[in-house]
Amino acid sequence: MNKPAAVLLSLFVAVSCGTQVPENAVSGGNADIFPDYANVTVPRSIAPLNFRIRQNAEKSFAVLESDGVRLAVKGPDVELKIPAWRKLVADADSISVTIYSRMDGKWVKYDPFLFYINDDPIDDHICYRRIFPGYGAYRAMGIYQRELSSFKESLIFGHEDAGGAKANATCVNCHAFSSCDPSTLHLHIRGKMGGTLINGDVFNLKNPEEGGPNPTYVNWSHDGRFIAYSAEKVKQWFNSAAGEILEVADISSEILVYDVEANVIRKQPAIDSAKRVLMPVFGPSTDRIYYCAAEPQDSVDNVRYGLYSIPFNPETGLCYGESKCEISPEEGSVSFPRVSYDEKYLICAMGSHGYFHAWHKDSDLYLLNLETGERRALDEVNSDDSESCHSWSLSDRWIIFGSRRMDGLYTRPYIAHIDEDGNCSKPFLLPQKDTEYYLTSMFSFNLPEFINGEVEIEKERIFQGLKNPKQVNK
Amino acid sequence: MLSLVLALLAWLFFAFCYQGHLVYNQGLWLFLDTKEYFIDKVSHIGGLGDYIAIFLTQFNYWPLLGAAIIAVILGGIHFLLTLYIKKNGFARIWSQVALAVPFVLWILLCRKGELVTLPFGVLVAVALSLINLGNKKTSGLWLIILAAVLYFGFGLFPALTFFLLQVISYIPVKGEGLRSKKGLGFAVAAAIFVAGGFGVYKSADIGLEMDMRYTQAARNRDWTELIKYSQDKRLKRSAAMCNCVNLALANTIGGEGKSLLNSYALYSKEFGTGSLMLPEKYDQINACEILFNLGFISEARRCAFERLTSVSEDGYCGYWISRLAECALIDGHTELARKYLSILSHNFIYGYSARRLMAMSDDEIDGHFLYGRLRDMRITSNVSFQDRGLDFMLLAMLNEHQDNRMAMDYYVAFLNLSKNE
Repeated sequence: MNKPAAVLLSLFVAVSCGTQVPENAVSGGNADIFPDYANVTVPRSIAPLNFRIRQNAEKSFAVLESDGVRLAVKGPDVELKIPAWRKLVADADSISVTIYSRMDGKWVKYDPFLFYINDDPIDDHICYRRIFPGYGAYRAMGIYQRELSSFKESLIFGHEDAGGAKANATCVNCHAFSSCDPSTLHLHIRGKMGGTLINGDVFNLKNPEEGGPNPTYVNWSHDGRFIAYSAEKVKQWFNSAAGEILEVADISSEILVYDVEANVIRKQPAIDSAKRVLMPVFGPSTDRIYYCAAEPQDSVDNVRYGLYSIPFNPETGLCYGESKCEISPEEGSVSFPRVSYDEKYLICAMGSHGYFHAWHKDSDLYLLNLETGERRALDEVNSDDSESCHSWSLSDRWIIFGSRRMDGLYTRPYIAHIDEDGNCSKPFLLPQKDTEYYLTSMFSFNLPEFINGEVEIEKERIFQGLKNPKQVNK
Repeated sequence: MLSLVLALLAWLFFAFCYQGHLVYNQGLWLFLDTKEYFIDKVSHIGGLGDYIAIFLTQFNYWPLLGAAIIAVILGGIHFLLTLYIKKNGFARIWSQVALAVPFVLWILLCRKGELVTLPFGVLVAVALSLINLGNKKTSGLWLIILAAVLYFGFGLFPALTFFLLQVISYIPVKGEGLRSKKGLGFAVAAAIFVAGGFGVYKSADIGLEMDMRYTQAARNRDWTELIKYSQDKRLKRSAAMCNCVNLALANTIGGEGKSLLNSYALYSKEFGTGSLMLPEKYDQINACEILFNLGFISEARRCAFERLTSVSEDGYCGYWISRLAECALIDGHTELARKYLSILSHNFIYGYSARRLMAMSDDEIDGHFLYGRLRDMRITSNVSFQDRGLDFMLLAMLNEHQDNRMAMDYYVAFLNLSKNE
């Protein structure tokens, strides 16, 4: 934006808000805002970072300044219009935010903080499962998508869509995409009239062995040809003590690979079947599968999953050779491995036991350098509560993950910038139009994934597909 | 006059025969005074009607007031229909026939969890039709716009009502014959009152109503009221009633150091151990209340969350959010409690107590007569209660807290009652 236009905009905004910066304001230290956006790094295309000034003040306002553009917005809810925000971030490297509050008739000026604007590419949408963080009920569950540059959220597939009626409402889970491509949506639709949605068609995807556990955790190969699954018989129970609410453990498990082109699902005999195995993910060149494995134990408190990898032959659709230990189970219990698209890094969640880390308070994100084998906790993004369910942007420069740091129960989506050396910036909470949104929403945002564009599905085709799913060869 | 009689009858019915349902509905919904809640509600078809209905439902907290609101709506519909009939010059007998409309709506309101969305929508539709009658120059386009607004704001039925009333207003006035027969009007009105009354009687679930009253008294810790209810010999006992009365006895008699065994025996034999607590798959509401009072906070929280998610699309359900807030406070999950309390603080009914609880320090919770005691009684070891009986749970509690008098009473009573099972 040219300078005269910027000055005009600045004047317009200042006049329209009717706010003048008080001259004799005293210093008030750090401002208390929610969400905490102080000094976060955000992509240029992100929606306005609306926030609430939490100081209990008679009056408050925020002044946002960037390259020649100045915006004064009345508080306590600092909600910015998208066009004004776009002008603010258009040419800026950073935006300075200063908060003023009037308390007992005196104006207080808080220390300014910055929004750092970053030009590394980020996918334009994210997809997540919005769900009550409950126990057994799955009412109001749905797979949603959200445009990152605006506040537009839309339902992709809801729990009522499978049956078309509340009575037939069912569980939908395990959304996944190949290389952030929205047309490759994978989704399990559970229940009597269930099936697995892959590339727009519904398949009757079962374990090739009669009575064996059915596919659960999912990962696409980046070329879109294979889908790796862990198939598990799961036990879930609820804790009687305060603290962690529920626990999940596998009674039996195995890894399966579905060949999309050949329409064949295969068992993987090269992977040790005596262990509990889960969450397989492909390396970007589809020549290796990473997975978690643990020795069975009497108590879930003693189960520790290590991270392993094994070569994969795309010609045969089978793993072969020896498994390599990437992270030993003695170092902690690993789950949810996710490899960067340049295959340089792997991020996983680690906790003291088990794998259901979304419900484990001690779960943190760890970064494994696949070239050097070095591993470190991502302290820049971790908190005292659970972090897990992360994914990479296609550019490898952003990660999104779920964290329960806000209240210990509701998973919220956080995004952080990650540089080539694996250093993360302070994560920021996915912005919402309403500054109180996360405080009043009763939903969790599970498994946020970046996607490159909007998912478009034909619900009638899925409904018909569920009635008559395509059979998969064994 | 007929409208007034109808309204009075409706008020008497809802205020004195159906107040349990009114209070249940109040707890089932949670009106929030936020812009976002308004936008969320009105952004779907019929949403404005829901928004207004949920706003009105909060006043069911005071059943006499809640019943008065319903009575005004039902009576108002008939009153406006009578005006409409009069203005159109139709025979008076149609005014008596029109009584059927509020009676049908009344019957629908007897359903559990029913909001006044539809009656209020019909009231608005009739009011708009009436206003429109005075304007002879109304264009077809204007009528379509009004019908569309009614459809988006209040749903299909109010829009159809409006459309129908517009069509009816074009019917040429006939009916001199009917006009002259005065006795017929009385007969029709009497017949509709009898038929409507019968319909209400058949659709009202009085057994459930009593269960609801017991549950609410237990939730409000109104033990004296509960025990008073139980002395009414005319009532057919249900397991839910027994659960609540036994909880009341455990909280009162036990507190005075007397043995509970006789009291339990008096109230329990019909349902065996189910008199103490029905398995939660049969009655999650009372199970939650009993588990909470016994000190099983994690279990009570699970019941509350399961129930909340099975009855609410958006999770805004005052009864259960307030229970979740209590559980979080007792467990020391301050931020989580703050979240729930901050939601409740946007509601007229729950706002005051939510703000008061938010201001309480951890030490004040420790010293609270109920929350402090329950905090002390929490189970610290992780025991899986899944598919286990109440006796197993009580034993686990008593292993850690021998001083949990109520758990001891329940355990002894359970053993006693299970002898015959």
